[in-house]
Amino acid sequence: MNCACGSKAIYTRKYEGNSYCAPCFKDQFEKRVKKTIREHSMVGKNEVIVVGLSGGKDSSVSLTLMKKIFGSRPDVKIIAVSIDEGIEHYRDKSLDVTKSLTQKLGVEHYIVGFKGNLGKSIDDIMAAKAAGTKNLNSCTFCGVFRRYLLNRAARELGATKVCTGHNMDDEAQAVLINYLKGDLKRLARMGPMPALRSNDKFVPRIKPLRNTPEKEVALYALISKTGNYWGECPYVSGIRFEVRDFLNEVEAKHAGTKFSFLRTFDAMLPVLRASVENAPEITECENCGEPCSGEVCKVCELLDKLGVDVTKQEALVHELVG
Amino acid sequence: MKLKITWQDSEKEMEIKASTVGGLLKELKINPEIVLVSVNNEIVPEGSAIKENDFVEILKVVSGG
Repeated sequence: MNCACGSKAIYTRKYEGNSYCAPCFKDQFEKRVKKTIREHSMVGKNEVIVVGLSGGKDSSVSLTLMKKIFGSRPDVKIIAVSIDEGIEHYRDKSLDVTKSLTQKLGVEHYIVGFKGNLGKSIDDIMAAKAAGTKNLNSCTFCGVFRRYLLNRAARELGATKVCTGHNMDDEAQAVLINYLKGDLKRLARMGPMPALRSNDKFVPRIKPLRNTPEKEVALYALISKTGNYWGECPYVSGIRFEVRDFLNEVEAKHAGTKFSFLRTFDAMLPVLRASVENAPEITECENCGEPCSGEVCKVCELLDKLGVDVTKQEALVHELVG
Repeated sequence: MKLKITWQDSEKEMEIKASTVGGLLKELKINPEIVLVSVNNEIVPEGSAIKENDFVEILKVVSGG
């Protein structure tokens, strides 16, 4: 089985019927990411881009490519920020990988911890659950706290964009989950360039890997030797994993399903946004001053549930790695 | 035929009927969408042939988190 160039193929894209050798696959992959960035004007002039870096394949590929594409632009600065949720034998290992990667790429890198900034690690939260003192879902806390810390760190570093490693599978899963939950407002906020919320404290997000399937991100990571961490979070649970398996089962039988699902969603998005009533006005949380849609933000609400004293922090505690 | 297969942190010698990587995944009931496969340390497409005594590594590539 050969690539169009005549070399031995390593991968067949079933949804288009072509096989690729490693160099041609890498070339195709990078072209698609560049096209995604260009088509949605994700990066303009004079940008400071904070790349969320967990050390997994998606964020490692995202950082590697952002550096490769924009590293020579004097008006674009790339900074990596890793969030340490405090999950022993998982996040500590992946953080080691992030440090090696940012050193190799020569990227400024900060680590921001749950424990140091919010008073509790995910291990603490799950220990409380195991002890029966709290009925808590780790993914709820983790998602809210991670987004908060990444946005805030980006803002404090003067970022104009936050770049995440979300791939096509992540996006398709999120769309389907919001359909299943009937959450139209959340659906309307999705898309290649999420609808910007009217508050200076939100740093706009970009997702350059949005049009690349997860399997291809993994293949790119392997052949490019990004050196990422392959472990899985020990606390994963919830509907996302059922949806992930469902979409992969359908994709295996009907190649291209995930592509057409996401393309259809993108085509419907303008109509959806126009029909969904405007989100509530953005105010500032009375505890911490962060933007929110009520009196108290979700972070403070969850911290209160954990019994953490909620007070306004002047600046995040972070570790500058390099 | 006999193959040495690594999958989910374990290495086993297995008797397999399939003659291709795709057939092997089907026989092992593994969804090809969630894995990449290398044969004798080279990543290969699903249509690739496998033969007696090949060393097959199956790497799960979907993440959870």
